[in-house]
Amino acid sequence: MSRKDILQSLESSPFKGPALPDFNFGVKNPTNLLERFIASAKASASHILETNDFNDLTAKYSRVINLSNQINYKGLFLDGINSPFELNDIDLLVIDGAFGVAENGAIWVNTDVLPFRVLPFIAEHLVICIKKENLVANMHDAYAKIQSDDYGFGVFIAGPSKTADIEQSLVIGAQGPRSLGILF
Amino acid sequence: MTNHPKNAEEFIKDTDRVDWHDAALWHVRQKRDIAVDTVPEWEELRNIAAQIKAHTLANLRSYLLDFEQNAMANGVEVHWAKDAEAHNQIVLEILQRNNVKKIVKSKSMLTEECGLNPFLEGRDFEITDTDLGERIIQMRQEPPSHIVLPAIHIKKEEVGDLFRKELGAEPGNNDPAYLTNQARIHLREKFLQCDAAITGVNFGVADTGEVVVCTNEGNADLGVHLAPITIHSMGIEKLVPRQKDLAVFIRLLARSATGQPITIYTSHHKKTAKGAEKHIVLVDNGRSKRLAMEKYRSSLQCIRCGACMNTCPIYRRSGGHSYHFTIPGPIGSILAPATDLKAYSDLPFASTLCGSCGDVCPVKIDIPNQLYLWRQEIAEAGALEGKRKSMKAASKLLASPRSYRNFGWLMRLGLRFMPNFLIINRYNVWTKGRDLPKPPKQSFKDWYKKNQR
Ligand code: SF4
Repeated sequence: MSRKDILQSLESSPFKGPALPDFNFGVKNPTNLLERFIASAKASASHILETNDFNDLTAKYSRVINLSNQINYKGLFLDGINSPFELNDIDLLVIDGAFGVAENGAIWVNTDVLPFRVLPFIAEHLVICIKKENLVANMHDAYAKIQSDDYGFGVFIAGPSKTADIEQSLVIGAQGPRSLGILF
Repeated sequence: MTNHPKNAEEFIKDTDRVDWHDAALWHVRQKRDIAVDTVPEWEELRNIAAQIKAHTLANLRSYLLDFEQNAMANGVEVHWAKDAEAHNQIVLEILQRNNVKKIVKSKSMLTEECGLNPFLEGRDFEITDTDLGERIIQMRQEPPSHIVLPAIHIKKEEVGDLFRKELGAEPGNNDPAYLTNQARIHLREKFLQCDAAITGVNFGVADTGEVVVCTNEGNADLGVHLAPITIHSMGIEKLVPRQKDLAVFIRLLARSATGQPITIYTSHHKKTAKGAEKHIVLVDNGRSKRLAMEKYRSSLQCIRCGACMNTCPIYRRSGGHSYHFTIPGPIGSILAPATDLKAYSDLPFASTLCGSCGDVCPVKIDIPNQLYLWRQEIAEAGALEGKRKSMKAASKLLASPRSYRNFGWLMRLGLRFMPNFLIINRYNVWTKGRDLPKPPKQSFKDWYKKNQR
């Protein structure tokens, strides 16, 4: 049995390591969070949307799904869809993000509030709504927040899907959403 | 027998390609430097990361048991594989039990190490690598040449030709955006037909039982959240004790790898989705044995960022395939000899010992030192076979202009391309306590003539 073998092998030559270090890099009184978040998000090719831009987007696409509680827009409904495989043709998905991280422009999305986990990955374009007051300085502050979040699946999304696998040329829109809009 | 100098000789024949490969990777290294400079506590983070990893490895048994228990409480099935064969068998059983035919797989050096693709293909499964770079090399039937940038050795014209042949892409269009979109269409079809998804794991968290997967393309998530069956293959060294430890590693990983502050997707897979099935396979395959080797233990701290490759003057100019091991570059050169000293005895010598890899490593693995230790071990193993034999080998080396030239090639690389601060540091045994030789002002012959009298 592999389990017994591995555990035995680990037991057979014990050695001492350092103590588990503690650290505290959280930022107590962060300043300019919004400004810094926006700069990081833009550097990662996210768009910061104004209400006008959002209206333009919803006018441009026909298959729009809105699952955000923060925005008043009636898109199509997901009623009657039983399998994630039926979700391939979404033009634009609008969802809520829990909070944003200023140091890298990432947004925490707990997919337990969505009917399918695959939604933010399979839509052609994605808009995430977050509140200006829900920003943290760095990843330490982010995990301090997540600690109390009971998610089945959660993800930091830091921009549109991208790749540089062909000659290191950056291509936006690899396999997931081709654009990410952030709406405050 | 294949070896690094011989393979490198092949690679450097195409000088344009070498220059391009070199520049592309150096560019990634520069992006890393810029990203690192934005984090004032960078060095502290490295120290803490190294400590967390060293602590976890020293207590791996108990953290693995915690992890197993917590993952099971999340509804995940946990499997243990002592070697590659056991891993592949476990995966096979899960797939057969669920009548799986088509599998999508995201990047995983571990499944590469286990030879999972040929194993499953030989049993009539369709397995599709879904990371763009991985798909390209899968179509070319090649191994990855870099752990983060698997197709870094391939030019866009070659991708264009490949996609015309394989995907019917239009002739003459080698625009990376166009080619990426062709791959997107092709891979989306594969996603929409898949029965199971396999992923690698960047981090496993003992106190929550979750696994974290970092990608830029979104391919891992498309597979996992579409397929009813998911298998996460995870090396036992990937554990961190606490969820909050992730902050340290996530901050280090992408900045070291590509200069991004974070990958586009940092996915935390915890509980099984409704109607789905989730498996984690914990793989040893030599890791516990390596843990017992005190000198080389810290190589298990590696988080596979690839920074040591991007910075290595030998890697950049010899290409990943020259290393003939699953993990190329400096880290591969200290991992490989533990698996087979004889077959990989060349790899610890594929280095100038300039120390750059150790300087960039986010978890502070003393790669140059371990390269040096392996060299000694290899020399000793040779000496054990009999002094006569080793002396014969040495005289053969010195007598062969070719070997001598190779050695000169390494030296010239080191001297030509690295500023002093890179060559002269505490690691470099060649230059310890002295400056590099200055080019002589007069030749020995001249000097002898003058001073003879
Ligand atoms: S050895 Fe260090 S630098 Fe190299 S891949 Fe591993 S973590 Fe990155």
